[in-house]
Amino acid sequence: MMQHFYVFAFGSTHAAIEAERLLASVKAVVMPTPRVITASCGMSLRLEDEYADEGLRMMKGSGIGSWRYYEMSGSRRDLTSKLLAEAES
Amino acid sequence: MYLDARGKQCPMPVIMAKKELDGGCTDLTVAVDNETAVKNLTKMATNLGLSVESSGKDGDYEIHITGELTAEGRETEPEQFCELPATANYSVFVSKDHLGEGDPVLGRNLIRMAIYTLSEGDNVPKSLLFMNGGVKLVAGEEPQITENVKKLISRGCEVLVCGTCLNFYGLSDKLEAGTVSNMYEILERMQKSSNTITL
Repeated sequence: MMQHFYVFAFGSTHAAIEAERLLASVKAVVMPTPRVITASCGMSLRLEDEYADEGLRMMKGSGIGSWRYYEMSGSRRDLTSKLLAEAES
Repeated sequence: MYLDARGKQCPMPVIMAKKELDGGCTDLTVAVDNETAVKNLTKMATNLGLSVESSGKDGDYEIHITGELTAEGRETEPEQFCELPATANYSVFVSKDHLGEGDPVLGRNLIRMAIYTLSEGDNVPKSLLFMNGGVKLVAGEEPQITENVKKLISRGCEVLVCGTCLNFYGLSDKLEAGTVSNMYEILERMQKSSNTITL
């Protein structure tokens, strides 16, 4: 089955937890960082397509630093990631 | 379309074939070298409403699948057609509303990630057992975990939730996923499992 979703990966677990609270209203799901995304902490947030833009807007205005935003697609066993946006700490 | 899946053990031939069918292939020949693969591919095609014929013997087989996959068929996970048990014989025991000792907020996020990973992974547990504080995770506090537990149920996992514990926490009418159960059944599931993982 093909999948398509969006992922925020973080430079620190604290940033991830802060973002989780912020993005609860856009139904962010906590997940282990997909294996294809390296160099980030192990906790990521998954957003479905309908909340992708709103989630990014919220993060950009949040002041939370050190995150990257990816578009994920492919099968469950073979996901690829595309970097869409990032914020430095 | 010709697919060479010789040398591949299940579930790989089924996954490879399903990928082609998902991509719109309506005339697919799969070469395999073991009878289990023949059986599983046949089962998949039949279940998906496609025509299937197989030929060959002694480690050299071809399965010919024709027909168009329905939208519903495309959403089906291929692993379930494998004769190899999709659900392994292990149980997961969730006895707390967090994972590990330490910071409670981190612990809550870790248990969310653990249940998410179980629900997305190939190796679905035979049973998922909630007791004591663990019952809160499927009784109103955690929409994400509730969703993922429902997904596990749909993939064949039995989910039992301690009724005594729900009652103690005042959550008896809040259960959102799984079946209310008791100590006898929960312990029996552990005893029958080859392995019980406690989270």
